[in-house]
Amino acid sequence: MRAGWILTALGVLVATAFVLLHEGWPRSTGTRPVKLELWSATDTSAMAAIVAGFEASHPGVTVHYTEFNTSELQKAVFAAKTKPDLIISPAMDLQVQLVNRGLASPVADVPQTPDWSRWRGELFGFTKEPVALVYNRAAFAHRRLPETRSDLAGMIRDDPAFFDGRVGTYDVALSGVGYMFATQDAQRGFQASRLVESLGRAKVKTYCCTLDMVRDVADSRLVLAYNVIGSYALKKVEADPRLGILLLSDYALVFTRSVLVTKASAAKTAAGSFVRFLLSPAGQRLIDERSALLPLVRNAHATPWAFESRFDANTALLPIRLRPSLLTWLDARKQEKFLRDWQASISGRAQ
Amino acid sequence: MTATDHAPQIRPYSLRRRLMIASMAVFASLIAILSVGLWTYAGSAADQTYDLLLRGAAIAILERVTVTPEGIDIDLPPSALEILTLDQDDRVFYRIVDEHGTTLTGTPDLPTDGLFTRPLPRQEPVFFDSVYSGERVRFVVNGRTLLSADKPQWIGVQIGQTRIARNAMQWDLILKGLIPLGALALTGVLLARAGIGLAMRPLSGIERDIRSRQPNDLQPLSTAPPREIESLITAINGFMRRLDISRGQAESFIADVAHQMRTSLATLYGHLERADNSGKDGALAVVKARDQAQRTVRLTNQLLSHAMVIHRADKQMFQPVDLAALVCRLLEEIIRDDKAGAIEFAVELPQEGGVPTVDGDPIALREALRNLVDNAVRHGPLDNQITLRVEATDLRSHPAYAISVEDAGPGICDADKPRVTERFYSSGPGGGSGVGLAIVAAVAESHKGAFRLSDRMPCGLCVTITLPRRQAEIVGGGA
Repeated sequence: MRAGWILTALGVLVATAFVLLHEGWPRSTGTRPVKLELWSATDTSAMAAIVAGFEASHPGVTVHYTEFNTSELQKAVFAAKTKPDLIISPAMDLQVQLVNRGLASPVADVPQTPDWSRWRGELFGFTKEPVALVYNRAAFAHRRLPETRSDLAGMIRDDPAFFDGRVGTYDVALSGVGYMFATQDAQRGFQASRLVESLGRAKVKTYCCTLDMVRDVADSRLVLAYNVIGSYALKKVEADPRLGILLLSDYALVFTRSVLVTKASAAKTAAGSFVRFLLSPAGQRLIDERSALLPLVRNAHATPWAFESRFDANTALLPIRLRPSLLTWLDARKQEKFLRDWQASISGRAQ
Repeated sequence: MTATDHAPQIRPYSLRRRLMIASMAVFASLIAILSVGLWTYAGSAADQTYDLLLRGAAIAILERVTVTPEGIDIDLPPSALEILTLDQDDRVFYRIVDEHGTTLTGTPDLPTDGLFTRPLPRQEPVFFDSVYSGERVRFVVNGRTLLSADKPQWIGVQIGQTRIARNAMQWDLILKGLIPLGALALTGVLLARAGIGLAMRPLSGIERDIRSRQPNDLQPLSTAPPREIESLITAINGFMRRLDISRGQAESFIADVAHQMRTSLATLYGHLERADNSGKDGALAVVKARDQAQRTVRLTNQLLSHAMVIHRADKQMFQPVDLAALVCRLLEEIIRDDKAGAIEFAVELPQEGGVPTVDGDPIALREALRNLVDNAVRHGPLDNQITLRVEATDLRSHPAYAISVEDAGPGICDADKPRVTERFYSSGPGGGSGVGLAIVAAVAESHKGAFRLSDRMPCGLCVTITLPRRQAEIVGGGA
């Protein structure tokens, strides 16, 4: 019957259109050499092997890597006339803000990863890094290690002579990730604010970077550093017997470094390949074996691991979710108020 | 464009297909209407659901806006934005504004939909859609009046959320609604198909009845037809009855003709046999044989004429006929044939009322008149006076025309008058074949007219055919 033919023709048409749309035809990049501009708030050394691995598996695509610190990166992205193709940052709140402002472009066919580590098909976490506590083994040779935040707060209160001026943490006004850790702590309860008050009473030293804190702990200028980036610290701890690392057992924050392809990118296909590579088994293995970072997904090929086993505690891991609720802490009023309160606590002038 | 355009022959249309197309069209339009309704309903349901979330978030934020001695304190709760992004991919935008629309915190460039140019509702939320950051965004503005030491101050929260979750919910609702709707329509179409088949069954019963009949079986159809095709069955039955009558007539006609011809030819043969005898007897027989042959020829002609009239009456080949012209032409023919001799002809036509026109078969009418005039000539004296008259009259209280042929002959006696229209009835010794008046009567009958014989004073016969006047002329005349 005629109607049957029309239906069939219509079906074929729809199917064709669907396939074409899905395949993204016509493919624009082809085999022409593509240069990807990657702006990143991650140590160049930590990413070098991963970038090299990507370039090796994608001939014709080169990556130009530019390093920023987190807040510089944000400002540079907003200010740039020519946006980069890819943006990587550990500051999850800032990354969410970029996506929320519509600067990111969706990437298709990305390997399945945990729900908390991705948003909108535009922002993808590719590491799983705990926020840890680094301590000087010699200083704690005859002492009990703290187990929880209230435990730590109590120890600092009870033994001011030992801790006074010898505790370090992020300067939340200077460091984007430090601010994110502090706000996430604050959001999770009063234990954290008690701890901050204790740190203030112990005349805490504030730092811009994890590695500075780790260095000072190794040199015994500090007995412990609170809220350091676990992956960076772990590398140092594994290489230096003076250092120890632990996760507090009440909870340990877990953050993820995330990557996005900008909407302005002229090479979205190649940039998408980079994202897919980061989350592919090969990319995750590279992160695990050849970088200072910790991969997001467990890798079946590598030696069995769970990063919990590399730290001195069994603990409740609390991943920070890549969601717009992070934007709350970027609110100007909220930020101003938090920083004011934090400064007041840390300088021992708690209200 | 369609298959029938290419096909040389026209295929008969199918009632079943027409009914199916009609019922499918009904269901399709029903689904279209319901889909529009479903679309609207799903849209408003999704909006209502997510508007509640939006307002909840606004209220959560408003609760954390307080007045302190230093001014307005805004402590944005993380839960507010969390509510809006529970497992959803929607982007969210917010800002806190004062009554002039000045941003206290948040994204300053959110669209306002002209909200701050008109009086603001104090408590009630205002929802609107607007395009922002390249997407359609649903916004709520909800306000609250803060009481401070000097004067009350209105503070509003504007929150926007992209429509991904709403659209997903709307589509979900539409699909869940459309699936049963589609099933319903499908069932409906199938039931309609079954119903149509059931309704069509009597037709195939009739078909079977007709097909299985013997060719000479013209009994009426016995099936009790449904109302819708009752008239069709009546028409079929009427047709078969007419066919039956006509066949009967034809049979009896053929039998009569056979008998007449045989008799006539036998008589002719008898005369011819006697013509072999010599002398006066033989000469007389030759004369008789010639007369008999003449009669036979005439009989044959009239029988053929009668058959033609009957045949034409069956075919109903009617057209407007001008009676005056017909009469005049006939008269011309008779005079040209020079059969008239000393006979005096007169023609009387109606003086007023235009051309006398009837609906009829001109050939049959001419034949009838011709027979009447022939009869008058044959039966009348040599100095006969024959009048052809056309006049307006009434027939069964409808306007009509009467055509009469009068002669000064011997007439027909009253006893014979009812029988002269029967075939082969001939009165008197000088009678003809007995077919002439039968033809006239048949023509009058086939034209729904009347045939009448009357006496003419002081002597003679008047034969009148009355025919109904042409319909269009009546209307025209009445106007």
